[in-house]
Amino acid sequence: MIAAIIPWATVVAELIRLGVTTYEQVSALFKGQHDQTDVQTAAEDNAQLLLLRGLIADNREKARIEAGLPPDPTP
Amino acid sequence: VNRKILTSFLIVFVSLGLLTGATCHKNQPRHQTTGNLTAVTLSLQALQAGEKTLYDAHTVPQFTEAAHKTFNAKLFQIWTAMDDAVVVVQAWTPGQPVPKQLTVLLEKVRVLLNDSVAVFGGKLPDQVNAVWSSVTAVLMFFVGGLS
Repeated sequence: MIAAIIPWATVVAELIRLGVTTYEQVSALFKGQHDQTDVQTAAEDNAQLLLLRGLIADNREKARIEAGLPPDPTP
Repeated sequence: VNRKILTSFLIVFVSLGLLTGATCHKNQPRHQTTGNLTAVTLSLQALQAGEKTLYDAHTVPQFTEAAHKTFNAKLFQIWTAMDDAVVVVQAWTPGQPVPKQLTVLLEKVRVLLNDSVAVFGGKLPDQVNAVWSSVTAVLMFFVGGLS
């Protein structure tokens, strides 16, 4: 059990330290979800996945520019 | 490797390990995977920003223009694999088993991350790769192995 908690604690602490996330966001991730199923959280998860795709696309474009790669023909 | 960058790499690796483990969660594998994909994305974003800051500062000898370009070319591939992983989760019907393709994509991200550490002449501690191998083995057991 301890072995499972340590990596989580490390990641969360570092992400908070780096300002990537906040304690409130982390606690929201764990709160009130344990009694639900994937079907019940599907809408919320789909919205989050859509946001992630946008974030990934932005960072991917930044990496492309920094790497000096040609523009992606299939955006 | 600069300590700050190595720490960021370690965070991404641990997040990836958790992501792989999370897909074994019995009741909410899709929900847990979504949350952990978010953690990996934010960690990668912090890693990308950290590398650029160090490169722009021109204070660390390893952060040459060539290394910066190679690192970002790897990151470009990592982001592509991450996007593919998100697409797989989007297509994953809630209540259905973990898609096998997800494991393949996460392993691809791990290999690319290893390659990106090597750009700066570094190597991740063996323990990190050992943890990764263990969680991947468990996941492979759950999804019935890689084809």
